Amino acid sequence: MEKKLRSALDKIYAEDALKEKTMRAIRHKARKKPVIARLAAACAMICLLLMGGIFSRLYTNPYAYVDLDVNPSIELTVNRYGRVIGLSSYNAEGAELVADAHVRNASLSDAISRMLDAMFINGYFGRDGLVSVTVQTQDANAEVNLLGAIESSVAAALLSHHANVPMDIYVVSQQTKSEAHEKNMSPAKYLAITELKAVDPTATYEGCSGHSITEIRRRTSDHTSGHHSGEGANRHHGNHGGRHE
Amino acid sequence: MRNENEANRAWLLYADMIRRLCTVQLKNYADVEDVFQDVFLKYILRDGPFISDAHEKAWFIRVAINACKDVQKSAFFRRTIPLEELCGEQTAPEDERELIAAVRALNPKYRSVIYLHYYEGYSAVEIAKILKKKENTIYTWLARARQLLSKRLGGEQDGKETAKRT
Repeated sequence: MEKKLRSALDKIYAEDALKEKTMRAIRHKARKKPVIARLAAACAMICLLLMGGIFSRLYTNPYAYVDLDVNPSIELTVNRYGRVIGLSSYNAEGAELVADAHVRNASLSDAISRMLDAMFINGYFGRDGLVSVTVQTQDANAEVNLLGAIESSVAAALLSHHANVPMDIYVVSQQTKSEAHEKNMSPAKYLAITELKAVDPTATYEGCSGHSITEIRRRTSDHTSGHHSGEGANRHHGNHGGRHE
Repeated sequence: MRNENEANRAWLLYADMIRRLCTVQLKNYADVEDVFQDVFLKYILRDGPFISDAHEKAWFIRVAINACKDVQKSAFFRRTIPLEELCGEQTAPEDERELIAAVRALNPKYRSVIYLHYYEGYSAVEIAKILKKKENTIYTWLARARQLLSKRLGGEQDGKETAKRT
């Protein structure tokens, strides 16, 4: 192993382009100053970063939106560090949970676990329960990691409550998210109602907003001969925003 | 504060070593650039002298490993890119790439000791001094890392350093 490792690593070296970029950066950052002035400037920069400024902006900048719909419907706003920086609700049940939740600055995984625990404790998982989670983020590279983290948290929460409840976890586009927001509902519910409206023109977003996603999908299924969807749905990943195009 | 000549000298001596450390520790090239800037800026701004070349090298190793750890902590959403992309043109034959990939799949703390022991040739005692860990900790890490690599690659283990526990 030693020979192979040595041979493999011998081929790795610091590229010239890397050197130029590094030297340019440190020339810019390490300008000549008297020692005391440099220390003072460094301290001032650290204070600025710690107390507000760049770090605060980065920390409080929304990076992804995670909507959790069990009916309650809630939305978690997440920053680039995977921390919850915002929490809101789409319905009265969600508002009750949000009022008692203490998930700001918690990790996304923790926050999802705690919210699902609260939903279980408050009896929101009925016989035909379903956990729908949608993710919307500008960073396509982050989607896989986000979906993985969410799936693990949801699965762990369901397991801890011995709940045999199906889960839908998928990515939605910004457009779908915006349209759902305008209707004051989660993207998952918005998409479910949109599907229903395609087969039942009498259905409306306002009229269906108080129903669970399971109920909406059951209604869709009733209207569609030979098609069954929604109930006991398996987990699937995909950009459901694309269905509207 | 050190001048550009000293920075150039340090680059010639240690840049390749830091680049190899980054290869086993990090997930993408942007992180490699961040680590390099962090390490060399610290070097430039460090006022105290080094006792010896060995002291200087150990300093670079420790700072680079800590810089990699800091980058990894903030890399929640970053994706892992394949080794070929991370190393650009510096690709090795498939069995060597497999070995590097196996090392990269280890826990970060194991990767450092594997690199320092098998490539830089440091003993467990020396690695313990550089990383400011207990000797037995390093022996344990090396043994576990070898076990995991052997399991993954299905090859021989180099039993150079066995745990010396009293």
